[in-house]
Amino acid sequence: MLTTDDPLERLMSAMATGDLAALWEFHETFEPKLRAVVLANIRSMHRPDIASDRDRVDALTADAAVVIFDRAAGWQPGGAKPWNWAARAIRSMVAADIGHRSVELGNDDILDGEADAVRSAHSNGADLTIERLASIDPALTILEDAYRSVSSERDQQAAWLFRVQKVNGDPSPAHTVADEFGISPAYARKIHERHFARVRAAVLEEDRYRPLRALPWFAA
Amino acid sequence: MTARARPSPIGPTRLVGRMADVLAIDGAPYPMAGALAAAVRGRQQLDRSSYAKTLGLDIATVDAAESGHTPLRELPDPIAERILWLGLDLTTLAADPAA
Repeated sequence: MLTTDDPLERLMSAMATGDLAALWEFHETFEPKLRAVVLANIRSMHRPDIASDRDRVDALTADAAVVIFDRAAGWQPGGAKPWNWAARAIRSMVAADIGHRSVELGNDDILDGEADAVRSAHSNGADLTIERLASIDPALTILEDAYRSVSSERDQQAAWLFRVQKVNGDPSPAHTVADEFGISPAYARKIHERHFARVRAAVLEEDRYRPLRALPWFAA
Repeated sequence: MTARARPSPIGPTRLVGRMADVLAIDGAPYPMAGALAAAVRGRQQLDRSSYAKTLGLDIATVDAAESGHTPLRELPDPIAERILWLGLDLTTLAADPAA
C-alpha cells in the first residue's frame, strides 16, 4: 500500500481505497490546515459567533476531513493540496451546517436506506447510559462510581444527557436538557459544568480513582 | 495566541462517529466498534501488515475488527486497550448498538 514517502500522497491514496484508519491519521496530521480552511469559510459567512465556538469548529474540521475522504479517489498527486482542491465542497458543508439552526434543510441527497443505516450507527441518547459504559469495560466501573459519587440523582441524569446530546451533535444541548427536566437552559448548562467539575475533582483527589486520571476526560 | 488547557474530545469523537456512519452504510453489524478499531490503527500510523505484526495479530483479525464485524467487547485486547487513549469522549464507547 505504501508507494510514496510523502505522507499526504500516502494518506490520500489509502483514503481513496476507503481506508478509515488513513482518514483518522489524515485528520490528526493535517488538522491545522483543515481548521484554517473551515475558519476562513465561517468568517467569510460573517459568523464570528461560530468561529469563536471551539467545539463547533472542532466538529466542522472533522467533517472537512470526511469531505476529503469521500472525494479522495479524484485527487491527483502533485496538484492542489486536498483542502484547497476540495474547497467548494468544504464550503458547502460548512454552509449547510451553519444554516442548520435557522433553515430547515431536507435530506433529499441521502437515500432512504442510507439514512436508516446512518441512524443505526448511533443508539439514541437513552441507550448511552453511564451504566452501559461501565458494562462494556469492567475497568470503567470505577468511572461509574466516581460519576455517582457527586451531585443529586437528577443532576447526574441532566449532566449525562447534556454530554450525550453534545457528543451527538446537538447544537444546543442546554435547551434539550432544559426541556427534559423543566429547568432553564442556563441552569442546565450550569448543572453540566458543575457536575463534571465535581467528578473531575473527585478523580484527582481520591486515590481509589487514580486509574482514571490518565483518561482524556481527566488528563491535565 | 490563546493556550488550550486540554485537548478537546469533540473533533476526534465527531470523526469516529462519521467513520461509523461509513461502515453502517456498508452494512457493518458493529460500525462503532469498527470505527474505533480503525482509529486505533490510524493513531499508530501503520499499514495493516505492519500494524498486525506490531500487535501480534493476524491481518484477518484486524480486517474483521476494522470492517465492523467484531463487537466492541470482543475486540482483541491489543486493540481494545488502545481505544481509551484516542482522546474521545467516553460516551462514544457506549454507542455500539450490540456492545
